[in-house]
Amino acid sequence: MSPEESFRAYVGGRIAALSRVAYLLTGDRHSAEDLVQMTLVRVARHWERVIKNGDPDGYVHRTMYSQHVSLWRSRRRDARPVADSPDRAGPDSTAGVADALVVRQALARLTPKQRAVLVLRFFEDRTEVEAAAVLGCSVSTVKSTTRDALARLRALAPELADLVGVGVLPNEGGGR
Amino acid sequence: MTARLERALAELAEQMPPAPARDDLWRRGRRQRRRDRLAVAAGVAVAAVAVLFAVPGLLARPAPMEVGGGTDAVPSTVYLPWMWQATVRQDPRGPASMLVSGDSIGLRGPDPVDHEGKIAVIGRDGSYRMLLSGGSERVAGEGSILSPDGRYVAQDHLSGERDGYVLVTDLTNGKTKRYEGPAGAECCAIPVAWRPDGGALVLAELYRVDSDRADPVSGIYLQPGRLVQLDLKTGATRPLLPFDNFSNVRTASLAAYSPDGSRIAVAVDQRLRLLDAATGGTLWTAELGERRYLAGPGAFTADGRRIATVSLDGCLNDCDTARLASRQWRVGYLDAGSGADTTGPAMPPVTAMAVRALGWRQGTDLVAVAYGPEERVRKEAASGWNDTGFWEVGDASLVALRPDDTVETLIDPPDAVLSMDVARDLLEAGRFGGEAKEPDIFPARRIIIVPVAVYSSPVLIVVGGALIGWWGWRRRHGRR
Repeated sequence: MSPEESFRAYVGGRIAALSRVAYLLTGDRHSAEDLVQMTLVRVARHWERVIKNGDPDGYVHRTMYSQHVSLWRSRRRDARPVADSPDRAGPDSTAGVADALVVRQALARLTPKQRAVLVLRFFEDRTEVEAAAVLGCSVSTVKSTTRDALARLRALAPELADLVGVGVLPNEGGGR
Repeated sequence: MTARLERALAELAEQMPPAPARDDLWRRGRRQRRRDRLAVAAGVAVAAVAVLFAVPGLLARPAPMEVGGGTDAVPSTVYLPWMWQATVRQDPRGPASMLVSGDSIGLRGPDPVDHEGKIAVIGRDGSYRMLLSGGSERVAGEGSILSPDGRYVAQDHLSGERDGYVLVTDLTNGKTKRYEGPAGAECCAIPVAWRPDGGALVLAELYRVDSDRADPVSGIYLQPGRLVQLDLKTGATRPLLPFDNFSNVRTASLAAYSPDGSRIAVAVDQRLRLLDAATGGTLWTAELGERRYLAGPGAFTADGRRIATVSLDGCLNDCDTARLASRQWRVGYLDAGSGADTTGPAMPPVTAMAVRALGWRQGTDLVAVAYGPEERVRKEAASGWNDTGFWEVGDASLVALRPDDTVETLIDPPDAVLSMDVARDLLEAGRFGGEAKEPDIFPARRIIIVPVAVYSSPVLIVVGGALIGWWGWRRRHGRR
């Protein structure tokens, strides 16, 4: 299989999962699609080197997270302060879809790195060590960023207290 | 609790359909890769060229030498400086062994792109640095003269400096001192000769006059009006001698100091006068006639008892190039005490269009610049001719006339060199034949951009055209 063929095969098999991560990171579909495209173009530049080490997922995810920060930086000049949503949904601990809506609104108010940490830890189910490797930072930075992100979620949306815990942060104090 | 957050994130993620897998992802990625590689290659090439040019110059750059270094010598030959050679002000390299002028692109630039007047200062470390002036050609040894110790250059104009009566540049730090003339005059005087101790100058003061030879841009014509002595320590000036008839002033043999600096021999109007440097008074006058001249600024013999003259055998007026080139010059002497003809060391005749004596090597050999005529040049009577002028001279060499009847060539430079001046201390000590170094490419003046652009543009056009063609071909026959 040629490099181009193996790249196309990888894209075909992984683009749905990558799209979901991108959506959680960016918060909207168009930005998510842009992020996926940018990531894959960048990966194609060095595909031979990427697949040489076996599973390309690690490199692809690292690229996506770094692209996410770059994309956010390039667009933040146009960013508008997010006003409090007037129709903010009230807590509904039994409705998964309602939880998702509230989480989406709250994620939009976090920094890119905070969002990335939450997605890595609670969506992709990565350990703190793995998250640190993907983000290119230390484990302690992952820990503090997680703590800050959850605290900010609680402050911005008290109704999320049930999701993220009150007083005690989930997994605080150690990696899985 | 964490499980609920995880579930909420999973629910949220499920709302995202797969992004469309565009067909050109691979092609775009590879295109970026080629651009990256091209950028890296270009960066490496630029860095390599910079290193290639810069490093040898930096490594080969010795520290500036101190004044009076014991091993200094006049180089055995002279090279032509680069067009962009750094100036003295930009990178001073200390005392010089000689000055050089000429008509190569490194010694004469086209105004207004570059400076028309250029003097190359050859340092005692072998470096080449420039003194630049726009608007007119320069002649080393006449108008730009090197001090006896090689540390200073006196000149009437220097680019980047405010005009003064005369300007004196210190080669050790690149700074130029501006002097005022009599009654605070701020213009203009041509340096003629240094006092042997370096403490004073004889200058030809210029007057503005109406003339059909006026500069077409400024409308100004400056004509020497009188000789003035300037004391460099006090700035005091002393008028020495007016020129009654400027057409009889021969710039190559206008004035010479005695070795002790107390007397000045001045040749004007076919007469040689000996002046008292302290008072300006005339001690005696000798008639020279139309074929005999003061030998040059180094005319006084080492003991100060004789003054050398040169007499012309050959064509005086209405001379074509061949006859100018075949002129012969015989050395004679005047008694410094009386002005009467006297005998002295018998020197061989010199075949040249003109000679200008710079001084005596170890008290016995007369060192002079010998000038050859420019191709197809012709001297006509009353034509404003100058035997050692920029437009009349085609080549120059440095020679030593020896009492054993031989003429030794000390420096035979490229033909583009039209005049030279040599530091008197090295000349009198007989320090010739020193190591000659080719001029370093760097440091450079900013004008280096011009030749770089000119020489690199064909290459860039060819390479750029090839790349565009190649990209076009790739686009038309693009790989998937």
